[in-house]
Formats: sequence, C-alpha cells, structure tokens
Amino acid sequence: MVIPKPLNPEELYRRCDPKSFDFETTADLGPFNEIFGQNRALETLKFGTGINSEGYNLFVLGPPGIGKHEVVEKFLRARAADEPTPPDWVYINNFVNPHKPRLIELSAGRGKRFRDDLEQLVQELRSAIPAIFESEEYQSRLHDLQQEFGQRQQEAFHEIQEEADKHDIALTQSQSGFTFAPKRDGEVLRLESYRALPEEERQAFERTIERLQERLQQVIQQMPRWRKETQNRINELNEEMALFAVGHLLDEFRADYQDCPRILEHVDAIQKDVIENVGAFVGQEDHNRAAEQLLNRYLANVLIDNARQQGAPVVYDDMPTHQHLIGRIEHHVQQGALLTDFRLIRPGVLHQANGGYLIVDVRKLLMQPFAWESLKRALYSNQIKTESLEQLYSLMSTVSLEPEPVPLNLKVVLLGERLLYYLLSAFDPDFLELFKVQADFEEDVARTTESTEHYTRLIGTMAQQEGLLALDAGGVARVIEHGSRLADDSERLTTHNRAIIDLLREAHYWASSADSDRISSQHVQQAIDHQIYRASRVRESMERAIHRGTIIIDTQGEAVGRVNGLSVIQLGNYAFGRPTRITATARLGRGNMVDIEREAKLGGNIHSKGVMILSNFLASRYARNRPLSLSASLAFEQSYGLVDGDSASVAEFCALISVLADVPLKQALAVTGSLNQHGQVQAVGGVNEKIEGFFDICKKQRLDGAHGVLLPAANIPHLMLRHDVVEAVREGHFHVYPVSTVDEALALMTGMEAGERGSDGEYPADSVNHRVEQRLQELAELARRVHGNNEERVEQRKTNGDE
Amino acid sequence: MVTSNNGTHTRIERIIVLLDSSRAARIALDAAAELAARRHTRLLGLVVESTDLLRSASLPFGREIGFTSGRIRALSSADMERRLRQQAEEARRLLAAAGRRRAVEWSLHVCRGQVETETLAVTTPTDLLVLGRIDWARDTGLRFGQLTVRIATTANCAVMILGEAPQPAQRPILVLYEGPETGDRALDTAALMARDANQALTILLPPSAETQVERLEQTARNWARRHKTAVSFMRLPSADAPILVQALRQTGGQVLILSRASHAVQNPAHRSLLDEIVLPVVVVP
Repeated sequence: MVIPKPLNPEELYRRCDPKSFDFETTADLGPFNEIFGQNRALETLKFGTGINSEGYNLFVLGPPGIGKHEVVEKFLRARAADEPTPPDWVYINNFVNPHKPRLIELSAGRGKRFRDDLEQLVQELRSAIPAIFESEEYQSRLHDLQQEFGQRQQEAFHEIQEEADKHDIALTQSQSGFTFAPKRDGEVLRLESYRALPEEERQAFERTIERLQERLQQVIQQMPRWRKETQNRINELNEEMALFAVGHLLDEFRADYQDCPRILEHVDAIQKDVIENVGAFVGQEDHNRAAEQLLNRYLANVLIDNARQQGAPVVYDDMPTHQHLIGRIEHHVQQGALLTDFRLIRPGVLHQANGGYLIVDVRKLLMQPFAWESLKRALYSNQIKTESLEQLYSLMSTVSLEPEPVPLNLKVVLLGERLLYYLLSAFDPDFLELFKVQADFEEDVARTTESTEHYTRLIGTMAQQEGLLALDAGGVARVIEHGSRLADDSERLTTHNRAIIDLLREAHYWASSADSDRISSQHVQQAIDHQIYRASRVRESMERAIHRGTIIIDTQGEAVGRVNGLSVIQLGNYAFGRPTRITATARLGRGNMVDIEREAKLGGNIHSKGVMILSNFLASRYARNRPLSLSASLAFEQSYGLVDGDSASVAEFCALISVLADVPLKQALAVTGSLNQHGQVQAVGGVNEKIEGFFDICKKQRLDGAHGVLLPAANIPHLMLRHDVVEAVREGHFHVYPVSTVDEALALMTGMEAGERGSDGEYPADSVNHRVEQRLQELAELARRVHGNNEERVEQRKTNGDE
Repeated sequence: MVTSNNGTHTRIERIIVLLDSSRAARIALDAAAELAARRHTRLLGLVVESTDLLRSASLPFGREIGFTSGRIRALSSADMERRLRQQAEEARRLLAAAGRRRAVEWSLHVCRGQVETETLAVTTPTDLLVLGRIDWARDTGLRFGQLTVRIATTANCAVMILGEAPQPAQRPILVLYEGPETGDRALDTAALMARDANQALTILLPPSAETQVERLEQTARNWARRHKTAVSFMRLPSADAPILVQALRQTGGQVLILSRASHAVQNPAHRSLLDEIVLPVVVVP
C-alpha cells in the first residue's frame, strides 16, 4: 500500500488567471443579455409556455436568491411581447337582474372608448331629457291631458250638481263624503219643515235623492278608471317624448357598436329604462338625485383596459391574497346600509394577467388564507368568479353582486423552493393536475472556458445595471474564484445571482471608500473578508474556547483512542468548520457498538447509519470466523447539540482501531470522510470549511509542518481553500492528504503500516490490522472462557437441584 | 304699518285660520301660526259646524256617499253631532300645540251656520284669513274650489290660500302687479310680508305691450322708492296659464300675492293659474 502524498497547493485552489482576460475593465465588455446557466429551466419555460393544453402551468423550483424571478420575468416579457394583446373586459348593469352585472368583451382599447361613449351619451341624456320634458310642447300637451281629466270630472259633478239644483236639492260635503238633502232658499230643510211637506213631494224628493246618490256613486267609482286612462295617455306621451329625446342619440350609438350584440342589448335596455322612468328626469332636487341614480346605471365599468398593453401581459403579484387574485366587490355606505353595484367591481391580478402570464411566489400564496384554493378553483373552471370570502362562506349577509364570470386563459408561473414543490406534489392531489411543468433551476454550472467568459460578461453587466464601478481583470478573476467557492466545487460556478450581486455591491463600497475608479481583486477580497468577519462572532468564540482549553482539542503529540474529527456549523448563510474530539473505548463484550450520541438522543439517523456501517465493517474485517466479543463506545466529546451526518465515520473508525491496536494517533492531524462496508472512504460535504476550521486552530497553536487534514480523495475537486491555507501548504507548514481507504487513513494517523492480508490470510506482524485482529482474538478467547465457566456453573446448579 | 296710495292702512293684526279635520287645514294652521309668530299677533282658530250637514243628517233618508269609495252609508244626527264635537276638540288640540310651538297667543271660535257666512262674519279688514284648499274640490280634481274662491273674493280682509305643502322659508315674496289701481295694496301687503319674513320682494309683471309693461315697472319702481323697499322685477313670458305656472315654479317664491281685482282671480278661465301653483297665494281686497 502506498501512503498518500499531501496535495500540491495547486490542487487546493483553482485559480482564475487574470491574464487570460483581454480587457482592462468590465466596462469594455459587451452586455450579457442571456440567462446564464439555466438552459434546462429555459427549455422548460419555452415548453411550458408554448403548450396550450389544460393544466400546463409552471412551477419554477430553486433556492431563494438564485434569480428565479428575474429569469422568469425576463423570459416571459420577451415571449409575451410577440403575443396578441388580450381584449378589454367591461361590466355593465343588468337591467333584469341588477345583482348579476353583465360582462362585455371588446378588443384592446375599445373598452375605454365604450365607457367614454356611454359617459358622453349619459351627459347628453342628462340635458336632452329634461329639455324635452320642460318644453312648451310637452307641458302644453300634458296640461291638456290633465285638464281633460279635470274637465271630465268637473262635468260629471256639475251635471249632478245642476240636476240637484233643478230639483231643489243641496249637495253638501262632509268630512268623508257627500250628502244630498232638500233645500229652500239655499239652505237645507229642517226636519220639521221636511215633515210638513206633502207626502207626494217628500216621496219625489226621496226618489230624486236616491237617483242622484246612485249617479254620484257611479261618477266616483268611475274616477279611478278615468285617472288610469289619463295616466296611460300621459305615459304614452312620455314615451313618445322620451323616444324623441334619446332616439337619435341611441341610434348613433347602435351604429358604432353594430358588431357587439351585448352592447346593442344594453342600448335597447337604456331606451326602455328611460321611457319607464321618465318621471325621474323631470323636475328638480329630489328628481335630480333619482335621475343621477338612473343615469349611473347606464355607464360602464372597464374592469380591464388593455389600451396601452403591448402584447400579452406579464403580471407579478407580490401579495397574492384571495381578493388580490380574483378581484373584489366594494361597498359604499348609504344611510347605514352597505350598498354596491356593478361600478364597484374591482379587478384582481388574474383579470390583469388574463391572456398572458401571472407570476406568483408560492410561499406567499400558501401563507394567505384561501388564496391557494381560489387560484386552483379559477384554473380548474377556466373562469374568474369575483366573490368575497364572506359571500363564499356565507359569513355575512350584505347586498352583494354575482358578476358574470370572466373567461380565464393564462399561464400561472409559481416560483418556490424545491421542498414546497415536493410537499405540494405529495399532499395536494390537484397540484400536479394544474402544474404539470416543473422548471428546475441549476444551482451551479461547469467552470469551462466558455462559461468563464459568459460569467465575466455577466459580472460586468450586473455591475453596470447596478450602477457599480467596473471590475478590472483581477477583480473579475477573484469573483469567479469565489463563484466556485460558493458552489463548493472548483470545477463549477454558482448561479446564485443574489450572492454575486451582493459581493459586487460590497466590493464597490470598499473600492469607493478607497477612492478607486474600479473594483480590483483586493476590493473583492475585502468584501469577502468582511462578510466572513461580520458573521464570525460565534466561530471566534468557539476558537477562543479551544485556545483556552475550555474545549479540549489536541493538535500536537499522539494519543490512543482519540482523534480530531471535523464538523461544519451553519448559521444563517455562513458556514464554518470546527474540530471535534472523537474518542473510543473497547472492552470485552458481545459485539455491541455503543454510539453515545445516539443513546443520548443527540445523534441523527445518518450518523447512526455511519456507526452501524463502521461496526459491521469492523466485524467482517477482523472477526469473520468468530464472534466479535467486543463492547465499544464512540463519543463526540464536548458536543452538546445534535450531531448528524456520516462524515465522521472514518475518524470514529480510526479512534476505535487505535484503542483495539493500542496504537496512538497523531493529534496534529484531523480526519473527515465517510466509510463504507468495504473500507473505502467516501466524499463528504463542507470540506473547505472543515479544513479551514482545523487550520485556524492549528495556526493559533503554531504550525510546525506536522499539521494537516485527511479528506476523501473524491473531495479533491471540491477544494477552493482560503489563500492563507494554500500558502501554509506551499510553505510546508500544513498538509492536506487525500485518502481512498481506511488503511491509508490509519497509516497516516498512526505512522505504522496498516497491513494487508497475505496469501496466508494473515496480516503482517507489527501492522495495525494485525494488532487489531490479535486483540479481537484475545477478547474472543477471553469471552469463550468467561462464558464457558458461566455455563459450567449453570449446569452444576441444575444438578444440585437449585433451579 | 304701511300706508297705501289711497290713504288706507295695510295692517295685519290678527291671523284667522279656518279649521276642519282635513290635512289641508293642518297645513294652514301651521302656516298661520308661523305668520302670527312673525307678526307677533294673535291667532284665532275658526271652526264652523255646518248646519246644512246637521240638517242633512237629521233627515230620515240621510245618506253619505264616500269620497273615494263611492259607498253609500246611512247618516244620523247623532253621528254628525259626534263628528263635529270631535272636529272641535281636534281643532283645540292642534291650536294649542301650534300656539305652544310658536309661542303665540291663540283662541278658538266654534260656531254653527254656513261656512262662508260664518267665516266672513268673523273677519275684519285687519285680519289675514288663512285657508287650506277646503271643500271637495281637491278630491275631485277641481283644485280651487268654489267655496274657497267665494271667500277669497268676498272677504273684507286678505285671504291666504295654501297648497298641499308649505314652501321653504328662504325664498323671495312674489307679487303680481297689474297697475296702481289694483296692485298697490298687493304691493303693501307683499312688502309687509317680505319684511316679516326678512326676504326679498320680486314684482311679477304680466305680459302686455312693451310700453305698457315699462310703464307698469316704472310705477312699481316709484312705489318702491316711496316705501324705501328693495325690489326686483320679473316679466312673465306669457299669459298662458301653464307657461305662467312654469315661470313661477322656476322663480321659486315663498308666497304669491295678488289683488282680488286681478284677472287670475276674477276671470274663471285664468283661475287654473291658481290651481296649478303649488305655492301659497294671498288674495288682497
């Protein structure tokens, strides 16, 4: 077995050579208007927006800050510009069912014109109708009709009056009616005088009075009919005059909107309404209010005006509440009552985006009560039904409207994190029906010559769009290197635009503070350092604790059963590495491995899995033909929080082997890597932070050339280490060893040969593995003896009848 | 007090209101109380219990035909007596309420006889008699009934006839001026009422030949100058009743004052002017 050599400084950090650029500053570069590194997402967007089948709405997945919104909006705007402009939508009064306003679709820009035309019409009606009804002609004809009625009654009464006078009978009015009585000299006869009259005369009076009473009764009972007849004739006159007043205005309107049957129906309804309500237009004050109320019903509510829209709309809703989505119906208070009409229907973003694209943040959408359900309902039914929540759930009984639903034809693009996509897929059966297209954003791209060139131009464009200083070649190179560090991979570049823009902004700040006319590498470095500094309070506190011995980490000497493991702590968006002492103990037992973290419920599942693999690997390697008579324990010393992940399994294995072989481990080295059941070392995450974390501790306690870190060889491409680490390696003060097997790790940690089984199946004497096997054999023998004695004692008790 | 051309004094020292149980009478009472309060004069309520009605009810075949329904009902003396008593009690209650509300001194005079005769007997030249549009005229479409016209044209005092609803107080007093012979007393009464109501006075000039209208206007101006009264003029566009009514409606006056000698009162053909006008009319002797 060859002991791994430490990595060269060049393998620890992939530089970007500023000399490879042929510009002075990014101001010399052309703009980069493409979308960087998101080919898969763009292809998906193209597909999702191009397909017209139902349910092909989009969900754009990716972590926050990756630029989903910008990319999607940019793409959609470019696409929407070439698509047809959607129509205008207008609500008008429904004269038959006023609580169900009618909807009119008009070509873009015509809605506003229609509304203006109606306002003009109403303005003309407002003056034309009273003018006609106050005209001499109308007044005169109305007067004639009323006179005729008065005359008719008067004549009927006069005839009776005259006949009564002719027969000396008085017609007298009481409080509630009329009476007839015989009279003399203008006065009604007293009872005594009447009785004194001859019988014949009295009978004649009575007969006449009875006849007059009947006639008067007939006249009175006919009066309602006469009044009705007169009223009918007045109505006819009103219709005639109203038609004259509005007919030509409405005809002009009809001519302009011949192609729209709904508008023609509306015009007919206006005409009918004017005629039926002529009374409201004539007169003053109270009449004016009534007339205004009537006239307001003739107007139009332009719900969506696309007059200025070029192409299809692209709308982003930053507050996707139920009402924002589907619109609302407002009310106004009148004498304590909440009233509404078609003019108070307000559009939602679904209306505004209809015919185009609606972008919504799914997290915001899900956080708003009922919004998700409302959106699904609209997408399922392909129509927008504007209803208030209280109406929908019958919470309040105010007068409200049921406007005709607006036909819906749009693509909804949800933006959100992957977790939300997977949760919705799992728990909402409607979700995949309605959002069939997932556009998954890449978090990094390969770092090639071509992508580096694009990245360079992208950096220049970002700086220019943000109004920042231009970057020189060194500055760009440092940003690119940092892009790889953010991607945790020297062969890839991050696509998290927000992180890059923030870095540029901060570098701009430092460059401006230094009165520089450009951002160079030192400003970028300053920005990175300051970002780390701002987030480093906890890290420094931990380092201090190690330095003072509060947390025990040895970085010198050797020790049995103790190894420096490496863990990563993530606080917000800042991660840093921290060495942890891992210890192992072993004694005679029945093959059980105690994971103290797990027993204390501080170990996660993955960590437990790592320990189990370790345990089985140990048994299969060293105790293939006999029981593993061992009881061992593993612990993360001074760890008081949850531990998860299997990146410490190689370190744990080394600690255990050290105990079993009774071979000390070098404390100047730290180990990371996960172990499989065949003893191979597998890649782990956060290697840069881990190495830097151990380096910082060692540096504080003085680097002496023995310090270093063992990491899985598979992690070499991920290395983008800090400059001071690379320099320490270059100067031979610090080493990074790539290991592929646990034997390599053991050899490095112990300074002894790990040992491979020979043709005889035995490990070489004085190898670590041989020692381990020997020790396990001893333990097995010991176990056999102990168990054998125990069994003998049990047998004896049985024989003595003690049982 | 205003002294007119012919030396007589135009005074209103008592307001008399003719009461019955109709809605029109209540409106008349309210207007009368308001006038009495403005003038600081006494208010006299007059209830005339019609002997014709009492006699009609006492006859064995006495019947009543309902105003609206036309139903024929039996009528007895006892019924009529009871109704008249109730009418008088109601009048007293209403008068008391109006008097209290306007803080005016009031009294009630109840008498039996014929309405016209008894009313005219009570009035004196310094009274203002306030009438609702009484008698059956309103209900049968004859707006300005014979009885009202008879009283207005024969009373020895000014007579105010009220429409269905009182007019807003913040409006000018209108007076129809047809010449000094008939119009000066109307002007005097109008000036008095305008002063009481603290309102402007608008003089309406009837349509006529241009020179004649100018002469009329000049005469009225002379009167105004003599009485130091601010006036404005309005020429009526036509003698045709509907047009006049329309013009008066647009002017929006509080009350129209005209002379008994005016064509609108004397000429039966023009009486429709009075019928159509919704604002109160004062006819001066």
